[in-house]
Amino acid sequence: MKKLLSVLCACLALTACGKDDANTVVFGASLPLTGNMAHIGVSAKNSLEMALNEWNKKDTKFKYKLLVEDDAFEAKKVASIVNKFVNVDHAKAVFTVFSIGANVASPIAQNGHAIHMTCAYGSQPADGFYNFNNITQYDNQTDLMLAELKKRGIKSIALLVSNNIGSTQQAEILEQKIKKDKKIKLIGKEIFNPGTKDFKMIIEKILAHGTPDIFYVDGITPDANLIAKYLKETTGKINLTTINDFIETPERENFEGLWFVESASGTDEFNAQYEQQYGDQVYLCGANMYDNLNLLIEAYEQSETPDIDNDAVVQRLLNVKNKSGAIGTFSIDENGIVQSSATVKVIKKGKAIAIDK
Amino acid sequence: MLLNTLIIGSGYAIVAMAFRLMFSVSPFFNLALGASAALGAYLGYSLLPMFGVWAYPLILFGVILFTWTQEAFIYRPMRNAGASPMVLLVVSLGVYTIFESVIHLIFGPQYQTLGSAMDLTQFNLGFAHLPLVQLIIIILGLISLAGIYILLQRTFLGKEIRAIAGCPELAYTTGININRVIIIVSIVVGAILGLYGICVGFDTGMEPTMGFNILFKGMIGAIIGGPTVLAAYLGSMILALAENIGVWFFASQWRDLIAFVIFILLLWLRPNGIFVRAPKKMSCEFKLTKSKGNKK
Repeated sequence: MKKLLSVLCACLALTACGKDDANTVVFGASLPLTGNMAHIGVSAKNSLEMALNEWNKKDTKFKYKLLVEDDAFEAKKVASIVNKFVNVDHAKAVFTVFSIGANVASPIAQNGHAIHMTCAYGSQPADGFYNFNNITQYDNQTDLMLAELKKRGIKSIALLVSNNIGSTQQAEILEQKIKKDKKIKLIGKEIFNPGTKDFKMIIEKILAHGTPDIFYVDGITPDANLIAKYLKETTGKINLTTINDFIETPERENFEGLWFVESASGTDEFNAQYEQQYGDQVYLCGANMYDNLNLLIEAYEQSETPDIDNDAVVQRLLNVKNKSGAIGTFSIDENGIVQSSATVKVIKKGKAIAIDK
Repeated sequence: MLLNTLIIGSGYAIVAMAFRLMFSVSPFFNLALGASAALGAYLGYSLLPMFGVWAYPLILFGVILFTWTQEAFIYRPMRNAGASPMVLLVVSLGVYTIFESVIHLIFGPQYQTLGSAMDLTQFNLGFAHLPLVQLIIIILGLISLAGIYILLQRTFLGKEIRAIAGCPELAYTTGININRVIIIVSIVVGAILGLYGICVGFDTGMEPTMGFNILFKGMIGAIIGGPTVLAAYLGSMILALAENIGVWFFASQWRDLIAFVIFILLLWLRPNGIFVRAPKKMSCEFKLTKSKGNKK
């Protein structure tokens, strides 16, 4: 019995040792560090750590600590991790990427009065006072896509869309704009399940209704790679475009020379700094997460008392306008959505280069 | 649609026949067979840039060694110790999970391909273009079908395999070394799956989770068809056709739904497989008793 009590006391002592002092602000990041989207998660993690390291070198009012856990791009894991961050680790803010995780995390953060900053498609992740979303919004991206299609004289298009909430929502907005505009003919739209490997029949089915000038893909890695491959096999050429998909994968051989729309991402300076530090390219959401952490710490640093009040921090974030960051210039609107601009880019030697450059 | 059914179905069939052959001598759902196919793809990814065409024998050797090691050091001792098929299934799931984690650690989680060298070679069939790698998959499916059929029907080893599949106890009493037969079968199965894994690496690329996806459809093809190798081949073709019908006549996201409705309907009508008549009501125990009775 004495031994058992000693062990329990030792455990309690260790737990007490691990507790952060009141002057430390804890952040938690639930990211896909394994699975198909791991390169996105690792890039986001590195970007967050890059920003944190820069702050830790400065003389700051508070200490900042970042906890990172792998959610493997699974909603239930995100729920469990974010719950732990908010209720056990008492994290003041949490980070997620993409709508699968963000939609789960936002109500948990809202209930726990923790700030949730994400980089995810759709307006839902930013629902609630404590939730913020830093990604170029559908309207901005689809407007640019439609303008570029018309500029290039595209007369007909076919949409290939993965059956996930982000892709279907974005493609639906694009479809509505194409129909409303009436300048481009929609040959067909096929929704496929995530994990589909055989696109031959899907492409053949569209071609049976007519040959579009261009195919548009909206999916998850490696959908765009496989569609490009099957297009080459079926039609002999890769007439494909997308919003972001070409830069979500490291395998860009099949996309060489193809144009696409990219949401606001890293500036040349940020990308170079990241590549120098991690020896790898930064993926979608990396620069956004770097900006997210910087915005948060700047807002916390404006607090006067050690007892950090998240409501005041939220108000400061909502006042961010025309700010320069790793994704260029952006503002945060009254709904907590970061307003930034998409650009048209082309894949050259595996890298996304802005058309105007 | 028929050409695509042949391509996709051949892929399912290769795995289905390998699974069926392994299941006939070692009757449990060996989920680690998917790992053998994935290993073929990843060994190709590592060795092909270094050794070129000379890498293929090395890849095959690696996959065969992997499959043999599992059988010799994991399943055989456990089977001899009386482990049930359910326990072996769970162990194979463990082996598969370890394999997937190791692949993840070594090669990373992202999607990769074995390059586009083979994609460039295409055959114009008039109505469609057939890439070389897909032609190889069709040929590999037919060679596997013919090879396994000849192995089972025309060789002494085939007789031994069929004897073990029919009644292992009786096969043992007639002097068949069951462990030796299982080892040989695991080598054959490893070679087939290794070759198919390389093809998948060239065709649709690879990711650490690919093994289970490959095995899943193959197992279903084998179950739809029935217990013979030809039935597994035809069952896989029916599965591929059902998927393509789902895409063509309904929406693409209904592919699996349509395929599985057809799958359940077919098995509801013919629970032992489409190409199998109702089994004779004679159990292994009965055969054993009858055999002992004959000795007297």
